[in-house]
Amino acid sequence: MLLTLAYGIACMHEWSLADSIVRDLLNVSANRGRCIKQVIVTVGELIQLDHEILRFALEQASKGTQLDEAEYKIVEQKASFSCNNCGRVWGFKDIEASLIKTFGEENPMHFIPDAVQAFVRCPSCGSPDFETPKGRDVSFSYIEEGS
Amino acid sequence: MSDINVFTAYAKRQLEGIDRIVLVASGKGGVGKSVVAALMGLLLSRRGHTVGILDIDLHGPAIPLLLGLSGRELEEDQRGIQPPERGGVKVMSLGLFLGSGSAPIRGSYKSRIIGEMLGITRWGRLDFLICDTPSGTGDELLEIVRTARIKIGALVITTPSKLSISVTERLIDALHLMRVPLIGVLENMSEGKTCLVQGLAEAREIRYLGAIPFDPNFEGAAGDTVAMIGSKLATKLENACLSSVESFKYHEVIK
Repeated sequence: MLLTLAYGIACMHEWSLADSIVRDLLNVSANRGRCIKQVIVTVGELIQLDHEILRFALEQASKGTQLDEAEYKIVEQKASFSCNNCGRVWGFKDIEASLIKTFGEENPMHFIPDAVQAFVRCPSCGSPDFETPKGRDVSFSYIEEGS
Repeated sequence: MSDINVFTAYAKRQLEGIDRIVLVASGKGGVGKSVVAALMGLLLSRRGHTVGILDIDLHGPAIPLLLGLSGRELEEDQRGIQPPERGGVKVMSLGLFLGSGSAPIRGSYKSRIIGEMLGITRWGRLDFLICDTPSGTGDELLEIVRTARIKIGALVITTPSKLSISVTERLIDALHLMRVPLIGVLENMSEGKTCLVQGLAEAREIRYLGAIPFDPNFEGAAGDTVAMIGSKLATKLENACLSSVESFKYHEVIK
């Protein structure tokens, strides 16, 4: 049985995120009395996490626990933006170069992705008033033993 | 679907080393709330406490400027950010990321930003976390009260103007509804006429902490923690309310 946990999550560094996910998975596993064999982590593009570091951190955090044998798969959710002023819809690739040029590789959205309106402007009209319906969250699904 | 909120959970874990939160709140802007928050942090640190300031005034973060943190001085490790320090006070503010840029942020994002700021900041052990809140009773105040399941108290700042007092009444009523313990109300920029704010305190059955006059020389001290703590304003603030802040019976918000 494929079970899904989806919730809004703020930016955390890879190790902190891995720690939180493993804690929550262990709680779920204990509550349900079932072992988890596979975990699919969907990471919003805006959070700019290193997937390999995240996978390694998840595996390390799982060692010696009920999740020791679990397989982790990381999937990216592409970010999308929608301007409330002119209606333009764009993706992260449209603004990534200017973001890095202004702030460098360690740009603020790596730490606080929901402050995106403070750091990004609509590439068409320059407005800071836009929505970010996708790409800000982290969610995970898991498959239990015997499913 | 589960209802687990991981960022709130992680923010709470980062708060585990913090003993007390002091919410510095006001009904209206421009009453000197950020100055009080910054000075209080410095004064508590001088008295030997471990102190942090969380600046959640997202649209107008003033704490970095007041404490002389003008640029990004953030140390990152794999588990978060070590907050920069000035005058013995650790600081986290959106202003540290914005620089001089503006922050036109919609309400739906604000709660998450506060959770993110709490989640990424490695406060360590603190006796006091002072929270400089934006004026009013919006997302920011609601979110910090909701997230901080530790001992908390609110220090309300007002000037003696009828306009400020009328809005302060609404703030106090909201804090009562949210069951936030109230340290008291401090009259700032006083002109010597204390009866209005005292009357407010009596009517709302909260402690009147005293009156602090406007200090025209403080502007020159802003940004210099040594000059700030040596100012007349700092002395007045320390005399008026610091002991109350230290000795108040903080407790968790009653559910």
